This record gives sequence, structure tokens and C-alpha cells, in this order.
Amino acid sequence: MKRLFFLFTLIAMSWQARATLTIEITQGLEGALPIAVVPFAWRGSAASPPPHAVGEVVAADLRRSGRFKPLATGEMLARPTRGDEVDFRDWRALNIENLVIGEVAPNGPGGYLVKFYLYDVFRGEQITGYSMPTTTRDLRATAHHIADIIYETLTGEPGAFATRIAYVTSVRQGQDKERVELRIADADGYNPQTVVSSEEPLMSPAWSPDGTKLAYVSFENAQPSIWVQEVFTGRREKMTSFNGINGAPAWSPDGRYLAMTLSKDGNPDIFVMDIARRSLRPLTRHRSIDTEPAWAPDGKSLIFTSDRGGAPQIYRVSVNGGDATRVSFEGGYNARASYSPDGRLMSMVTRVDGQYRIAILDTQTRDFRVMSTGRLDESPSFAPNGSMIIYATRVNDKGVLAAVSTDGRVQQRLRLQEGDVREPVWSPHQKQERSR
Amino acid sequence: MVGLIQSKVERSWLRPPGTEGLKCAVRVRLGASGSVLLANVVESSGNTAFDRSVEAAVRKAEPLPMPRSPRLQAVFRDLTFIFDPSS
Amino acid sequence: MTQKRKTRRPMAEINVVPYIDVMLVLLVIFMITAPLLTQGVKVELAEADARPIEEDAKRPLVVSVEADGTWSITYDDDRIQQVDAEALLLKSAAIIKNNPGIPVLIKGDKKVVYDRVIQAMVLLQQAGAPSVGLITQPPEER
Repeated sequence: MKRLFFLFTLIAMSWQARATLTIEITQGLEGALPIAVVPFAWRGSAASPPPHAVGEVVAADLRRSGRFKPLATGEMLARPTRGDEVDFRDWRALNIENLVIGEVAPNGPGGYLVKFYLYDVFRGEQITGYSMPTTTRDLRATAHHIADIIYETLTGEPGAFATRIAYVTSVRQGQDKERVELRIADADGYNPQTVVSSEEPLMSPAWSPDGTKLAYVSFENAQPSIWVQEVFTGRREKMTSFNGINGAPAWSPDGRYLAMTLSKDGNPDIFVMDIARRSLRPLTRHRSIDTEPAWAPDGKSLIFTSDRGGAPQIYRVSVNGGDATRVSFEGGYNARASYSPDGRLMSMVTRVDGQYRIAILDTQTRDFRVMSTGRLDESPSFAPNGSMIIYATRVNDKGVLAAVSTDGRVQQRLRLQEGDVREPVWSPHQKQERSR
Repeated sequence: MVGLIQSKVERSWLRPPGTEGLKCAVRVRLGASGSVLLANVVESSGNTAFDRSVEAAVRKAEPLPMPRSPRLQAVFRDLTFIFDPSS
Repeated sequence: MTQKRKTRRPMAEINVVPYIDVMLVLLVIFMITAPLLTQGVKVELAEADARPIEEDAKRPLVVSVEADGTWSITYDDDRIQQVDAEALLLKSAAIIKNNPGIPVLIKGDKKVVYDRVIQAMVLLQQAGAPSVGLITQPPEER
């Protein structure tokens, strides 16, 4: 692979005053960025350490993105925690390009002050550094913010570690009884909080574009209906409760419309609801089943699953309705599609040799890649920066959350949740406070 | 000499995934022993990770091979690297 | 000027200095590898190490064994860090893993207890060094 075959050019020598020798570099090894995150020091009493290892949370976030390759702690030649303890030679010797050190100090009752510094090892200088006050409850969130800052500084793209996921989980309670909960958790699966709890099925959670509300389907009172609930206050509102299917709500990028599947006229079709006016207009009218709508990031079109061609495939339709065009052609089953935030990629569930897996379709190159390896993987959802996809997979006949980086490099199962987990959806970016 | 410098920089270049089509130029000033005094991106690729990887590649390759003759050294102390994985 | 004219004739001697150098190096390598082989320590002295160090080769990882038997490790510039067996293993393993193809060398004081050199070699092997080279003392220290 690494051919020692040089293509070099000598351009503009001698006769030009500012002539410099030009050397062309064409070969390079492709790979994740080597970084070292030294375990953060604890400056308080040894008897009461902070509840989470901040450095480890940061390293795990960076690794999960697939863009970074954090050095194992056991391979570190030194473990500095202050700027004056850093000797860049210890890191150059390991070919580590970037170094993160930091500390956690007590800051009043239940409070912490987290400091971290990011260094460019080969330049031998500090790139950035922040001091962040936090609390016991927000310590993990602070660690995710640190990972976001590092990610953005080094890649130029916003991180998506300090975001959340919503998912549905069912926990068996005694015989034949199940408690279904809609929960939200940190993007790494920690800090789960229950938003809705029910004895009837809950389905299809969807984040509003501002990240403050969730739309979902509830079967309470034995009738499916679409609800919109504020995440922080818990206040909720019933949007539809027609006869038949009320399903698969999806917010428009401007937050003014909800696309949904309704079968009130006999056959499941896609409808668009103006949320303020509560007015409905049909988007598709077809004898087949049309469901699982998702908006393009520009809000001008939607994609949905339809079996109008005999088997489930993805189709696209203008927001004004009209004819739908088929977009997925690979394989005999494609469903539950959604766009990446830049609108270039589409994730979907595809069937490969009888197994249901997550795939990515590049809408420009038509390149179709299967990203997961499970038997019954479902509900892919892009991170708000497009770097990762979260989905649900089955392990020991139980649904668990898994994530894969969009380049397919890193696949990871998230921390095991209680119960049977389904339908994860990634939140939009959340507002962050930072202080330098 | 150009080949030696080129292969040393290529061996220390770790390119971020998915950046095949990008291109950027780095202006480099070297010391007499081949130490990197200055490495600055003069034509950005528009991709932060790519630009950073290119600068790091030059610095990681330090010390760069230098000719023995002082007159030739003068030529090699001011270099422009074009990083272009697509070509 | 006159003297120079007198000596203007073809030089008859062969320049033997480089050959003596090579012979000395070979001798030292044989002296050191022979007992090692009998003790069952597999040390592969790769041919690559006998070549002159290329201009763009990686900086080697050097383990020095001092006269009193202490080990120290040098991996960048001239910083010398004293290490015990555990640190030697951990540090050299990290450096070898993150620098594929790095030359690994042992530098021993001539008065050193032989056992310590072998121990260092065993540790370096455990650390994943595919081959270990040996450096002799520079002549003025001999």
C-alpha cells in the first residue's frame, strides 16, 4: 500500500526573486488522530473523589466518534496534570499529536471546578484551555462539553457529545405486565431520565428542532394518538387521535409542521399538520402503505417508506405533494430512512441475507454501505453533526443501544440500559455555556 | 535530496479519513540541521483537520534531511510543500 | 614543495582502517551473541541494524546498562531516565507499539555485570522489540 514511488516536481527555481523549492506530498497513511487524554487530577480530599472520571469520559467520547484514537493510559510515559509538568518529548516519542491534561477541584458544596488544557505536541504549545464550574449532577455533561471543544478545535466541526438521545424502553413487571417508558439520556447512554411512563405501548419519539419537545405515539386508552410533550416541564398536548393508525410523527426543520402517518381514510398515508392551526393536508395518496416520513434538512421535500413497488423501499416527495420518486434500489427491503444534517447521506434499515441492518446511502455518489452487523438492527438516527449514527440492536434477545461512526470505523454498544430498548433518536445540538 | 525529504514527510503524514480530494500548501523554514523553524499553512484546504495533519506531518518529520553543501542548504531552507492526496 | 615532489608516486598500501572497524564490530557481536544463544535467549540481531543508520531513520530507543547495573532509558534527545524492570517494560512497550520499526539498542558499560544486559534484552523482547542491537562504548571511553 505504501509505495515508495515518488512524484516530485521542482517549480519556479532561480529566476524568481521569492522562489522557493516546492515539494509535492501525495502519499499518506489514512487514520484517526492520535491523542492522549491524561486522567484528570483530583485536588480535593482523597476520601471524597468526584463521582465520574472526567478524563475517561472525554477519551471515551473522542474514541466513539471514530475521528480520534486516544492513547491507552497504560502506554503513557508520563501523567502530567499541570502545564509545568508537561514534557512534549514524552508524547513525541509515542507519535501523539495532541495532548489533553486537566484537573478537578472542589468548588463549594456539591460543586467542582474543572480545568483542562489542550496542547499541540509537535508545535510544543497550548492550543486552548478552559476552566468550567460544574456540579455533581452536571459533571458528566461538563466532560462531554470538554470533548465537544476538543473535537471542534481539532476538526473544525462542532462536536455532538453534549447532546441527548430519546428512546423507548420496556421493563417487565411481574407476569404479563410491562411498564413502557420514554426516556432521555446523555449521548453515551448515561443519566437516563424518564419522560413518559405508561402501561400501554409508546412509540416513535421525535425531537423538535430546538430540542425542547418530543412528539411520540401513545396507545393509552387503547387508542393510538400523537402527543407533543415539553421535555423539561412535562406539559403535553394531544395532536391527533383519529381512527386507525396515528403514527410516526416527524418535525419539519422550522418546527412549524409535523409530518405523520394516518389511516383515517382507510389506508395509511403521509399527512402534514400545521401545528399552530392544527390543520391537516395529505401529502401522499396511494393504495399502498406509506409511512415513516422524514424531512430533508432544507424542508423542501420528505422521504418515506412505501410498499407501492411490492416491497418496502424509500421514496421522496416534494413538500407540496405530487408524484413520489423512488430513492433506494439496493436490496429487497429498505425502511425507516432519515437524512444526515447536511442532507447528503441517508440512513435506513436494510435487509441483507435475511438480517436487518443499518445502511447509509450517499445521495450524491449512490454509494450504499451496510454499517452494522446485527440481526435485527433498527431505528438509525444521525448525530446532529453527522459524525455518528445511533441505532437499536438485539443482544440476548434484548434491545440495546449501539453507535457507529459515519465512516464505519468505530462500532460500539452503549452502556447497557435497564429493560428492552428500542427506537433511539438523537437530539439536535443543545445550547452550551462555556467560560474560558 | 527532494526524494528523501518527500519520503520522510510522507511517512509521518497521518491523513484524516475522507479527505482524499483536499489539497493545501505549507510554507516551511528549516534550520541548518534540518530542524523545522516555521511551518505555516499558506493555502488552506478549508478543512481544519486536514490542515492540522499537514502541519503536524512536517513537524513530525523533523529533522528533515539537508544537503551538506552550504550553498545547496540555502535552497533547501525555504520550502513549500503541496499536500495533494488525489494526484 | 620539494618534499611533495619526492612523494609523488602511486600509493601502495591498502587503506585497512575501515576493515578493522568492521572486524571489531563483528567480533563484539559474535562475543555477545554466542553466550546468549547457549543460555537460550532468542535475540535476533537483524541485518538492518548492521547497516549504517540512514539519515532519515527513526531516533532509536536506547537502554543503557551502567557499571552498577542500573538501567536507564533514552528515547528523545539526550534525556536519560533511570528505570526499574517494570518501568523499562512498560515504557519500551509503549514506544515500540507506537513507533513500528523503531531501532532498539542496548548500550552497556564494559564493567557491567553481564546478567543485567541479558535481563534488559529479555524485557525488551517481552516489550515487543523484534530485534535488539548493541552499542559498544566509544573508543575514548574504552
